[in-house]
Amino acid sequence: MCLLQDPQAIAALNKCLDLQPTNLQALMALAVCYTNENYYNQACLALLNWLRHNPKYKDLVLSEDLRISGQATSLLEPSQHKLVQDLFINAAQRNPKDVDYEVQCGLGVLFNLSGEYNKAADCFTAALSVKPDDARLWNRLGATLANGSRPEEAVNAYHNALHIAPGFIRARYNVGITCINLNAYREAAEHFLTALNQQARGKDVMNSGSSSQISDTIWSTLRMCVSLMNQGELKPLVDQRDLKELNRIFSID
Amino acid sequence: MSELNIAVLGGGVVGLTTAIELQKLYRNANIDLIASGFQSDTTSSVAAGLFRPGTSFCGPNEEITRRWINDAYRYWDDLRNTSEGALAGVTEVSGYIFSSKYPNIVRNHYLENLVPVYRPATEKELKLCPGNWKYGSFFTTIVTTCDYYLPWATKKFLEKGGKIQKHHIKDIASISTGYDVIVNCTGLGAKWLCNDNKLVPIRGQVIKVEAPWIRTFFYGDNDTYIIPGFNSVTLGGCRQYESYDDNVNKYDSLSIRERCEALVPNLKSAKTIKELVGLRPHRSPVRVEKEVRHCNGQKIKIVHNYGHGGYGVTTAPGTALYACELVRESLAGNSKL
Repeated sequence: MCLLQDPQAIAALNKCLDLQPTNLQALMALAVCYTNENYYNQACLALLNWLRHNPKYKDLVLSEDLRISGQATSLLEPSQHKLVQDLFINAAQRNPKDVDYEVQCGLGVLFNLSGEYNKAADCFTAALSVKPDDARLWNRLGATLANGSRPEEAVNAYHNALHIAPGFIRARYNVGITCINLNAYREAAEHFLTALNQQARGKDVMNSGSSSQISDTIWSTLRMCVSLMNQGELKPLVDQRDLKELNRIFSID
Repeated sequence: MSELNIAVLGGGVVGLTTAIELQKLYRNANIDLIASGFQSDTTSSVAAGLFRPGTSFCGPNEEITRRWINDAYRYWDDLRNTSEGALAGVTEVSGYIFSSKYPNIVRNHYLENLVPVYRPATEKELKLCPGNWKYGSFFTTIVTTCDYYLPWATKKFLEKGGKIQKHHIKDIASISTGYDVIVNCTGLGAKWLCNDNKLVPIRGQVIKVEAPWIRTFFYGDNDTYIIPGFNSVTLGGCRQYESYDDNVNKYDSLSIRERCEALVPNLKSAKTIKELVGLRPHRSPVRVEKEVRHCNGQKIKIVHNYGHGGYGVTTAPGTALYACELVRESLAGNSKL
């Protein structure tokens, strides 16, 4: 599961979990989507459920830990976050020599929630030490570095993701975002257009979700990007989704 | 041609400085400055405006706090050195901080490697003022008189096409339509706007007096300070935690006069121009961060920039530059895991 449009992914994953509440892959993916959408407490709850349904770690979770509410708010409840974080740290310490990339990934998400991006980056790096060919992990490392204001390193991580999976639209989109933050608006626009072209050709190897949903996000970010470039005259083309004309203007084949 | 729409809430030194910095970053954006009060209505206009961050002043971490303070100092110092400096009410000033109690009070780790001079007072200097002063420092820094700065910054903002709206905002969601991002510089107002219980007023009272012979600032024990500005000298003060009293208190006035005159006796002949009260918006840490709020199925992008306490004039440019970076990050959206 790796949809670019997180709200739709959240709905789909919740439906999946209705049918199969112990689906660990769905729980981890859900935590990631909630994090991307700033639903901090729900992300914590999804991670807690991941632990408690995981045969390797379920003994770590005590019944009193299940009080956490998963309330819909973008304000992180520090006590809930700490509780889940401590449980994941216990899980990671269980086999310190044998890194469980999923536990590291969960910890990485938790440190993203609390804005501790350097620690989060360490976790994803640890996960990559055992799974170096995982494009999604490289993208998560990249996004963490970018959100933690380390854009140059983020670009390197995204390039690793794109090297493994050239059609990985989320990583392509993220490179664009990072270019905006580096004031490289033209490069950003080129990345967004590349992503839109790939998507139009149906080439997203990571199955980033239905095409109209993906393109909504990319088009609206591209619109913001042309505003930032002071090229408002391109906005009508963006609004009409005239990919052909935009490709011509940005010299994209 | 651009349709980037930004609202800045708050008309004090933080809001205005942030608004004019956003204009520099986004030359074609539509920027609205919305506040319930401007200029003399603001807490900034009460402040003496001496660049001296308290040693307890803090942002999210040491590195960022230092950056805010260093950026702010450079900003004020650069502005002072332009032809606009005098119009903006920014100038250099030197003076003393004395304590009869603790050596640490006269030290300041933020200023010591930043300002041109920060040195221990000599034995002779410790006897400059009446009182049994044991410890002292002399330093050179910058003073910004908001009676000049706020009108100057307002003029700059309007000249570059900024728009000003005067009304009270009860709810961020009520103004969110049409803005790509909202920058919240509402000082103490954020307490209600964001339900932020960490934000507390620290009440201050000052007397602005006519004393053009005072060219040096003085700090003594117990919140006593004498700070010369462009058009008056500010005598202070007090720090009353969680007091919401915005009226001038006559006992505070008497105490301020008595303490300041004891420190610099020739102030006895200084005529009072006005007495003012300000509620410093204190928050530890100062909140300069992004938020995405979900409201009726709509996502509102907010960048907060409030809670500077008694150091709003001091640090406004530093946090404004940082807030501008957050605005860009917020507009671009977060990178997706």
